[in-house]
Amino acid sequence: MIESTARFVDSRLRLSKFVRRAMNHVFPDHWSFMLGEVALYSFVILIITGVYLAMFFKDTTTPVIYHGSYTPLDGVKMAAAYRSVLHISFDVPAGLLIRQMHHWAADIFLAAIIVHQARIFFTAAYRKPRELNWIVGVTLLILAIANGYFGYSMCGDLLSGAGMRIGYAILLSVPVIGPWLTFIFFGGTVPVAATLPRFFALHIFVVPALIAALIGVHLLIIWRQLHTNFPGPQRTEKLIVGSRLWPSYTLKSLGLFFLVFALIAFLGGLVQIDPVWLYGPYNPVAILPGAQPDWYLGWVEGAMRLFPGVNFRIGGYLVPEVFWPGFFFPAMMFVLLYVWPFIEKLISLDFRPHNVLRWPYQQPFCTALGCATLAFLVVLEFAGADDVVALAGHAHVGALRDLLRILVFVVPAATGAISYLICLWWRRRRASDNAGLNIGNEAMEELTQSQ
Amino acid sequence: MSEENPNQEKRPTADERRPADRTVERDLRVARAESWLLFGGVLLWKAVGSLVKGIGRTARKESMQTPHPPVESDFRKSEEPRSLEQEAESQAGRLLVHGAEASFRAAQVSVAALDAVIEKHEQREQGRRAGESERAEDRNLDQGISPLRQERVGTVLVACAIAVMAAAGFGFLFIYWTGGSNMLLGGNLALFLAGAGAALVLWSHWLTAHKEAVAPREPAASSPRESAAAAVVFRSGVEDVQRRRLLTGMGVLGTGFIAAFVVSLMKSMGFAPDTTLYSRVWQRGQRLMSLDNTPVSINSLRPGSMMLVFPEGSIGSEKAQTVLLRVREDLLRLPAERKNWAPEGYLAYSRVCTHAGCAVGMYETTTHLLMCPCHQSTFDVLNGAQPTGGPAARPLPQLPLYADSQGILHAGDGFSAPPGPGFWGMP
Ligand code: FES
Repeated sequence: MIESTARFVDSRLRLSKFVRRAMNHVFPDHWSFMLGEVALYSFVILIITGVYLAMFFKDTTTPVIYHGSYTPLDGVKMAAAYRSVLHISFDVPAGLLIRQMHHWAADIFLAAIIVHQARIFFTAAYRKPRELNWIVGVTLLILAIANGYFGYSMCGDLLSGAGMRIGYAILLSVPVIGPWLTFIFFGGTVPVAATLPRFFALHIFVVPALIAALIGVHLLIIWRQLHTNFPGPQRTEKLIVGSRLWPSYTLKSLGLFFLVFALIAFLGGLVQIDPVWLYGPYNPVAILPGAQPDWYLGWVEGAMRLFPGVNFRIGGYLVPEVFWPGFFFPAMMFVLLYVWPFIEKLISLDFRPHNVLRWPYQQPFCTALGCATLAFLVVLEFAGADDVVALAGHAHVGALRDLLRILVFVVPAATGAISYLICLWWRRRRASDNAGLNIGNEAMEELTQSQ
Repeated sequence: MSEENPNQEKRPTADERRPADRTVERDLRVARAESWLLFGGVLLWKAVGSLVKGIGRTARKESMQTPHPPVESDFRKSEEPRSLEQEAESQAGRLLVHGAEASFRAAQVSVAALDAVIEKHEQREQGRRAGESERAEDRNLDQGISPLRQERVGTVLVACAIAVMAAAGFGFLFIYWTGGSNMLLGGNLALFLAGAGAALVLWSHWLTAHKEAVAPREPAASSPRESAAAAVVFRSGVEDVQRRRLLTGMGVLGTGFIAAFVVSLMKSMGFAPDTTLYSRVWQRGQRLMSLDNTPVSINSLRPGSMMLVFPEGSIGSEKAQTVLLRVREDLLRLPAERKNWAPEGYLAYSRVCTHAGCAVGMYETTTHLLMCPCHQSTFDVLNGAQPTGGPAARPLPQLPLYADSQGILHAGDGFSAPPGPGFWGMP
């Protein structure tokens, strides 16, 4: 059966050579190479669950009266979108499962991307010739964050309404083009009926299509350039060591897909996420204390809280205070991520291509920088929930915020310094392990690579 | 394919293998088939048994219920489906337990049976090994354990995973069709998928050949000759284009038109910011209305309290929401030009935060601060709602008020500034 089908196709497309090479493609065996796969598979699951949800979701804010099986909201006026979300959650069989799986899959998608990127950073896998794929990856991260935001803003509950208003304010604050951008994306001054269909179109067509296309590019580049290898025997600049695509890697990778799917199904079934019915429908005059965005935007929220209220004008034109922490800061973070491979070249003055990775301890400066950045983001993430933290710790929000304004600089600096020292210590230990040869680390690296 | 394999790993073909290997392989095949048969048989037996039991139980329940036909149908509607659902759920739970038990038993039995089979093979193997111990060692070098044992463990593990998968898949379908809860559905789906995943990973780990493969890397860049050749072809095309200046120019122009066309389509999306951005919302003389659409008078509030008001005709509007407060007049610290904006200590401010647009809904009576729940900006109501803490930088726009002869409150003008978050060009 399989053979005759294969022969049918092969006699028309001359695929044998390609397929043979593909099956012999070598993939390195290291757990950290699976992080990207986890991201890929959660994207697949996002598409599967998203298509299901799209069949029930209404992207309009038309006011309707709710009469569904969730009795606490019976007779309440709400947007049609919110009613459809309640319908999915309470009346569609397995609807709540799929909805929660979709949300969990988005969180795992983003988490996997971030951890994957951290792995790339800490092992210097972005070096020549892989800068292009680093750039594609950063773009994917931005798109994933954006789509997460569009997604949870569409539900029409009170929390998503607050998120939408803050997003609106941030975009509006951009100098010169802010008002135009806002009117293109939101269709007017929020809340307006035009916004939801725009977010819907972006969330289910535009951004997923871009993500899918870029994932394709990402994989093609990997296929072309082959994976990197961690330093080790035989792993040189000219050889790749690992297991073949067929059959062991295929089976393992397919297994990973099902395991990721299982994890998401488990979370979607047993761990509640975004219970929109508890927040109630969006109402412009209602207030919701203790509201936070999803965690992948918490660092921006934290920056918005810690940044002092500066209000200045350029030639009489206002640059609002939210512009700096809400737009400029994240934009700069992403710009820095984009250009990092090139900055690293200028620091290390190393312009050669590399196929063998560096262990984190072999690049103390980069490792320290990465740890400091992560610590910075974690402190901001805390700051993004400082009112909740203050409430839980019976502290005063203002005092806590002043403390956080100090910590946001001190903690990253300390983390960076400590990780730098750990790297140095580790490197020295490694060097002395190497039988008192007393050669420098660079030379050792050279040695491993030229084996 | 092994002849043409470009890489360094050698895979022996069937003919190259030693005869001893082939015997082992045949034995293995037999062992595998036997274990699968046993496994399947036991599983089937247990599954059928529990199914029969379950059906029997359901039938008994039903026969108990049917003799009492419902009379008050309305009443029953609200009560009965729930209990039936719960029944179905507990039924599903019981079935699941049975399924799990069945697969566990099946695994146990098949392990025992396989053990016996393998034991036999290993004894035979040992007899042979006495003669050719060197070769046997050589063959087993790969994983460190005997291939038979590996095959056995692998088969059983994969079988268990598949059994879990089958049982959970069955459970999912059952719960889905009987309308069970989200948690049971999710749990079963997770088990089902985890079984599938585990089966594949275990298969790959135990039952496929594990050999480290090494392949050469090609250089990332094209060789100078390749790129030179490509450049020649490209340049000949470019020259063609360059010679026809006029046509090229027209082409560029055409592309520009297409771009302009696409951009101008954005007009339908409401591309330009309109005047609503600059609107000060209130008009002079408009009455202040409460949320239930009644006019607010000079007697509506006691000092120290607040309420939500809207302009006449815009009840519930996001942009127009206004907070009306009353404070003791002697506490006021308004700037001179706003002295008569607050009759009898009534103050009205935009309720939209100037930071990022949340509704500023909390009022601290003792400190006279309005607080925004989003990022905890505070505004001093006595002093024109100037920000006193938090990230907001601009005061909440104030609404001048006056009371008419009947004591009804009116807006003296629009807000002192456009309400809401700031933007380039905000006055
Ligand atoms: S929106 Fe009010 S403080 Fe940020």
